[in-house]
Amino acid sequence: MNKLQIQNVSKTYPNGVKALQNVSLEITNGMFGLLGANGAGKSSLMKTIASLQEPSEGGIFFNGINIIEHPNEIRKCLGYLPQQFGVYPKISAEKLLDHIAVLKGMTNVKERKAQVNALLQQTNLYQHRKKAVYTYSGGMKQRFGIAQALLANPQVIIVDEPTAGLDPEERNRFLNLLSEIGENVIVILSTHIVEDVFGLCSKMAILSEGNIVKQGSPSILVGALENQIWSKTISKNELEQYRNKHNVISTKLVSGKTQLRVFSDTPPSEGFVQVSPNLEDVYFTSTVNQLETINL
Amino acid sequence: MFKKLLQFEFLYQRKQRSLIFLCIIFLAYGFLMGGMGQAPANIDFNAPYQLSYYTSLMTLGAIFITMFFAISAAVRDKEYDTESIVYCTFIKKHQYVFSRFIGVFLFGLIAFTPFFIGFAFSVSFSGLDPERVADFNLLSYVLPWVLFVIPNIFICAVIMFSISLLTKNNIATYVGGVGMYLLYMLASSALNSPLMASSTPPTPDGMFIAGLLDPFGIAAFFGQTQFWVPIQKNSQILLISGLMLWNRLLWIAMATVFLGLVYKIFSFRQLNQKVKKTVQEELPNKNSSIYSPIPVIINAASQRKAFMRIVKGNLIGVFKSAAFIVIILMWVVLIGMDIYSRMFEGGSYNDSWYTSTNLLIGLISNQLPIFAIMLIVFFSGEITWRSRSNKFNEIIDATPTSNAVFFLSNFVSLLLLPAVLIISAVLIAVLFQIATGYTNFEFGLYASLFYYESTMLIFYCILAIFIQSIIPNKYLGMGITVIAIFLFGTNSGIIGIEHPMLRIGIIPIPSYSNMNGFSVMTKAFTDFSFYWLSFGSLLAMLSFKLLQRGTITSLKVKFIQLGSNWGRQRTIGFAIMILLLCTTATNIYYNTNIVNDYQSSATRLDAMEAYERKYGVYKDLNRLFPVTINAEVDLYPSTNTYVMKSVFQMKNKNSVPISMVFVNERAELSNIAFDSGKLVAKDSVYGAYVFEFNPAIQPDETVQMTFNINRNVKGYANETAIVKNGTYITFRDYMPRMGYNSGMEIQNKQERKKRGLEALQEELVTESHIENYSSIFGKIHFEAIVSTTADQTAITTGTLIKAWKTDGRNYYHYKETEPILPTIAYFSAKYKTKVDIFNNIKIEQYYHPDHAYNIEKIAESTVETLDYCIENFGSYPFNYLRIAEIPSHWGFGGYAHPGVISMVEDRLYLIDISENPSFDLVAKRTIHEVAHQWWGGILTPKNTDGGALFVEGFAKYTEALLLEKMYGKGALWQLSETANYRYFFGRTFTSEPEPPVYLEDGQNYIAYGKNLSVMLALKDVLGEAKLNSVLRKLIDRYRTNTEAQISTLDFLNELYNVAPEYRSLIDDWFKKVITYDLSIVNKSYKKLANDTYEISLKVKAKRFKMLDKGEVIPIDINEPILIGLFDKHPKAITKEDTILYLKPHLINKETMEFKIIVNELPEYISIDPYGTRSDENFSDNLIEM
Repeated sequence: MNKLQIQNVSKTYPNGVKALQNVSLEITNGMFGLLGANGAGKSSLMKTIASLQEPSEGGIFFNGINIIEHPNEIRKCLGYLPQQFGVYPKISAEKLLDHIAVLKGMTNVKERKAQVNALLQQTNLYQHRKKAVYTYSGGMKQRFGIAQALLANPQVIIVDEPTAGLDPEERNRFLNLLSEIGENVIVILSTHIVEDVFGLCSKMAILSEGNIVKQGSPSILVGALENQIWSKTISKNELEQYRNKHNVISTKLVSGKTQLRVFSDTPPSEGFVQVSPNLEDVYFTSTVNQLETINL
Repeated sequence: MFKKLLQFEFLYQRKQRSLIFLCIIFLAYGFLMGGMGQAPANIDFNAPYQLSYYTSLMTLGAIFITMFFAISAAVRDKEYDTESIVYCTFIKKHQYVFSRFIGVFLFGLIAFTPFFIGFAFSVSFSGLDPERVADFNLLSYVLPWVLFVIPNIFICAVIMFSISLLTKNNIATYVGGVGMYLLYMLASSALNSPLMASSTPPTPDGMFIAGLLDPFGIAAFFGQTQFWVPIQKNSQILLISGLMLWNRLLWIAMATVFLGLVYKIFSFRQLNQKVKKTVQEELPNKNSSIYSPIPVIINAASQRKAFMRIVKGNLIGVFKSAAFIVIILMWVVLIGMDIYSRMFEGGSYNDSWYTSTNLLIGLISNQLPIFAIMLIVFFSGEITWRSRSNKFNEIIDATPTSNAVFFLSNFVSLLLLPAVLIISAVLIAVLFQIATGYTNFEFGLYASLFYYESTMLIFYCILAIFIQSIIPNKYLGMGITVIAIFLFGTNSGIIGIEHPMLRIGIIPIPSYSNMNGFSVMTKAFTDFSFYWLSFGSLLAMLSFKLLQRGTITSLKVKFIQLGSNWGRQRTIGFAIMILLLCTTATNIYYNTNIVNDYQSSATRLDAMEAYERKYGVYKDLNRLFPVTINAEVDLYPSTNTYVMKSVFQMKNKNSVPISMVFVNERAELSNIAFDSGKLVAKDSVYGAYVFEFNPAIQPDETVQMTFNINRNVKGYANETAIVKNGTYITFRDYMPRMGYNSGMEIQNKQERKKRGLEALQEELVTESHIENYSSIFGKIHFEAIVSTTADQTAITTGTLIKAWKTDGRNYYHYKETEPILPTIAYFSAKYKTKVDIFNNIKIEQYYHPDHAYNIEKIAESTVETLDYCIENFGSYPFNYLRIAEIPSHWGFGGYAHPGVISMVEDRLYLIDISENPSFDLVAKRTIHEVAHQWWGGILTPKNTDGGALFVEGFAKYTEALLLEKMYGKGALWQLSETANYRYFFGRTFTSEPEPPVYLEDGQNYIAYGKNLSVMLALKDVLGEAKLNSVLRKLIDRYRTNTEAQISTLDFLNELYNVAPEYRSLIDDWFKKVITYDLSIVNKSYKKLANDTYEISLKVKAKRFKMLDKGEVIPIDINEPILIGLFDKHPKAITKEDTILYLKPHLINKETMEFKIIVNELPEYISIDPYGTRSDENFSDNLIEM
């Protein structure tokens, strides 16, 4: 069982932006979802774990080893798929995977070849293996990204917004592959799409403005909101009024009318119906609260 | 609409940062060049010629200028994604293309023009010698602007704009710009353009072609002005005529047509249809193999593998890049052409070389640095930023590859690029050797290219990577690297950095000669290599420290990073490197400034001034002259040391007593004494000694001077005299100078004025001056014992009386009973010898064992020359004639010492004469030096004006006689052509008005140039026998004199005696500066009844006279000149050939027609075919039938 401990990590960039504030997490084998809005600090945390930047404060330990002092210890067993990446022009997928495999320490030619082939097949890139990755479509490139992250023997796989830009089918296939692999290793999946996390991740954390606002198992987090989520359909111009009166966590337009979701221990007022909570509610309740605390 | 578009274009381009940047650069350049105060002697710093010269060269920058504007004009829509917006508007194709082109062109002009402002300003306010700054003349600025700036900016704008318009890619435009520069240089060198300093004078045809094809008009400019004398350069405005006109018209037309074509090809609006071709996905197929993780071990072996893989990846990336392919192609072609053009008929006499390894290496290493630096600058950016600019860095940086591997792999990849250059050049060289049947491939020697050339390049690689690691922008980093290398390194003189320790990365590379191997500079090479490489390792450590994975940080953060987190090991390593740097720096400083007296140009001038002030009082002191020289010389070549003990008998040849003697040492004297003189002052800074004689030395009295020299080469002295194999110590190296050395006086007028020194007096040379000049320079008796190591032979002048071995050393006792000039030299090397006997004269050749190619030819030519000269000019004084080879670091062709001739490796022994049957440079050089035994040796002229006629003039005349005799008339053609070019080209650099031949005063263009023409002209009118008899008479009269007494007046008087009818013509040739313009303008022929041909030809003949102030006026002509009809080119006429017709005709009108009847139809018609008249355009003397 691998164990990644993130202890009180803060990251302040030279321009003064506080990307992470006192983040602490403990992650073990299995899929771990990191949910947060754009700019919440997900990528900063990912990069910090992937040893691409050093935290300003705090420590990260992988199986007991301080990987800030010994970054190569995490790199040895890391699979990392950055949020955005390019490739060298004019180099085929097969060759590029081989190249990365060597850099990851796979010195045995046969093993390398076998694994590269397997990955190409698993990611459905095999028939395009001779083509330059440069020419791949978004989904193919993303699958190439996961293939390279899986090279060698990664114990920690970090995938940063992997489903962005994928069509629904691609996204499904991609997440299935991740969950298959995630049984025996740590997979950290960062995303701003709530659905991605729910079915897949056994554990998750919500990041907002650089802070961890919630963490735990998705079902427990959702269960905690049981009986506390209410919904009502109102007309658009009433919204302001409701916002002042209730703890509105989200609004949605449904056939021209606004559907409100409100967080409340007691039934708010007439017209509201109780609904069963979902992960989105968890996300919104935590981030809205966060906003309020900051606003205070 | 078009107007609005143009207005917008103005608005847009005006706001480009590059505009300000370029304006400042060109303003600064103008300022720099204007204030530099550099112009050939006697040419004003702002002379019309000088301005055109600078402007023409500066317009090479037009590529650079227009590149920026072209990119912002043509690529901006693509870059800022405004393409779709622009293309949706009503704009028409022609409006789009031309409005943007005009923007590029006009802004190019705007960016260049500050150059003139800077120049005009700085030339007036930089405190230059006011005598050499002409009044401001607007025309001399406007003309080059019209002639060079407008057309060149236009041409470059067309090209750069076309590239950016068609590719819509700024990298492609940059590469195109660089490619254009390279192509231009390559073509210039291939066409032997005057832009490239080449050893070969351009032929008129070649000049025409190069002039026409040069898109910048620079070659045309050089062609048009190549023979301009200073007065023309100062006053004549370069007119748009001739070659210049055609060139400008041609290129403007070509550029216009090209722009039109590009306009046609450019497809407007369709451009955005060209989308990136993406691979279409297919349905997933069944997995046949299943992914499973494979454990890995990260250890040294895996890191090594990663290293190899990154290097490989980098190199593949580089090799596939267009820039690299372009540079390598250029390089291969350039090296190939360079070797071909020099090896085959590329010398100054169209001579060829044997493809000997050292010569090939010399050619390669001349070209290597610029190409290697270009690769380093460009690819240091490409390689270090490779993963970042492809946004691949986060993936790569997250792998367990160590920082050291990343750093080293980039460094090694970069370093391999120059290696590719060297390897490809060596391959080409070897191919040339194979093709020419040269089988002695000295691969060890080729390897030395890597060794000696690489340390500088390694340092530059480190420097470039260091710069790239601190500068957060790739292109900015490249720019800074270029500036660092060129401005602070290779060309640091521009900004006044002189001291070798401050010139970044500059390491002295030892020269190589087959005889001597690598020169003594190897010590300097090693020390400087350590110095720069230890500095380099400091930079490397810093760059390693700055190496960043993952996120990029700003410069400020990097500096903080640089100062923090120094581990113990790193600190120790850094300290060791600093220590090493300090040690090597101290060592170099010690050797440069303390062991050898380092002088910057400023301190050198100070020293010269101090010398003049201190010792100027001795300027007119009467001098003693040697009459007997006895010497014991012990040579220790392996340690670059010699010991010399000399005893000179010095005679007072003046008519007044001498009571004070001033001596200036050349090699440092360990001791000097006169038997009756008292040393009253010794100055070890200048090596000056003052002796007093009491009682004074009476006229004709002789005193004994003894001096010892214990010379050993110290520090980084670039010793050429005493070397490991090929020692050649001449009187210029050791013989103390008797008297004040006026050569130490500052010559620059402005500099003298600044330092408050009196202006140097210009001597007015008159006939009475040379007549009355009493030269007390004279011949001496000589005896010497020379010793050297057991494996070498030592040679000097004199009959070898005895040779023996003692203590494992060879001793030779030489003694000369005939009086000789004191131009003694000592030779020592591992020689092979060949001895021929002719007329009881032992012709002894001493040569490097591998250089046997031309030995027979040298022997044969020597015999021919001795034979001819003895018969025509009188007996040879010695019973030996030694010809000894000396290493190629000597920059002359050969030197004739009394009875001993030195000949330089590559200028005699490695010349391949098999290629050119009608002209034999080996024979030519041999004849010349052997002839000097008479001309200069037996007949020694007064050491005054005109003396070179007797020495060089007559030797060249003898060359011509003998070559004609040995090879036929064709040889004369090459000889005259070279002499003629040398004359016209040489005199364009004159600082004084050109003297006539008989008053020549050190002008080499007369000594080796015009002297030959007038002697050949004389020979044509007098005949060989009559002219030789004059020379014979002079020799007979003066050969027994020990003092040099003959002057040109004696020679002219003798000529008047034998040919009174030609007196005025002789005066024209010898006493005036007269040039000719002869040509054949028209020809036709008629077949006559008796199978003969009547050739009609029209001759144009003009004569010009140069007046005292350098002004040239046309004068009448009235003299016999040869007209010839040939069945092949006059230069190809060999001994066996007969010439159809070659007779003198009286030419007395500017245009004359002749009819000549010959038996065969000639191929060529020529007036003065063998160049006896100085004619700027010799090539139009000849016309094809």
